[in-house]
Amino acid sequence: MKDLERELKAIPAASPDARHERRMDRLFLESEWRRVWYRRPIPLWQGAAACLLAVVFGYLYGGKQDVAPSTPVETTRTVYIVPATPEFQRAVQGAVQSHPAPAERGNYVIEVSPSTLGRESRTGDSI
Amino acid sequence: MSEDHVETLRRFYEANRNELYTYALALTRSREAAEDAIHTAFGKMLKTWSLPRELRPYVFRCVRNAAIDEHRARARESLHDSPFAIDESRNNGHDPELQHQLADLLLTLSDDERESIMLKIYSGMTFHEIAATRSVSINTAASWYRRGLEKLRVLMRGENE
Repeated sequence: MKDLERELKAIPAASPDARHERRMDRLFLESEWRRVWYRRPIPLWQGAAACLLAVVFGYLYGGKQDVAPSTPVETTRTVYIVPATPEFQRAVQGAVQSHPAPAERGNYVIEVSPSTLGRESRTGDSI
Repeated sequence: MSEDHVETLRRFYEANRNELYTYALALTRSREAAEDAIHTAFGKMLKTWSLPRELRPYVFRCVRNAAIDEHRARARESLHDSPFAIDESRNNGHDPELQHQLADLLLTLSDDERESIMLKIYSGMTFHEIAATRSVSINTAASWYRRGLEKLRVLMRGENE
């Protein structure tokens, strides 16, 4: 086993070419430059100027962002009052309640407006 | 990025460039892919904020991951570059024919066996480091290596008979 290991060790391994070495050197140089750039000392006046700029920009931009007072939107609303006949009840409620109790009979009030489109409400004997 | 982060990685690369290249080449079987894998791996490591204490398995693992990605990306290409550079003209006391034979047989082993042999023999890693690089137990890494050598020995004997 040791002989085999020695023979394997003796096989020369491939080595990277000069182009790859230059590419890697460039990578390390760029990283070093980035590190130096991000860690460079910033003078006090530059920091203060940046803060001031941010405040002025925030004030100017924020001033334009005032929320306009909302105006009431007029909506059209249509109300249908339909007597709750057994046929109508069956059509609305389906086969689940095909024989409604007499006490439950009344009128259906159907409101149609942009916000309640597709909804229905049912009132009892109060109407 | 700590102050000596770039310097640590640069020093590591300079000390291990051949080992890393051979390893990446054994995984990708393409010189171009191996170079790209090393470049990508170091590019990523240079952007991290901290490095682990055990740098060697970490760097080899990063290069391994990048090499596997490169290999997958070039799956349609015919990849047959050898991780070895056997020079017929230079006789350093070893038979070049035997070296060719061993290099070819090494490529017939399973990926795990070949990788363990490459890491142990050509990167000079300990079983502990191989295990950390491959995220397996030391026993598994050692058994891949021994099984690979045993297979090589049997194959060599078979070819020479």
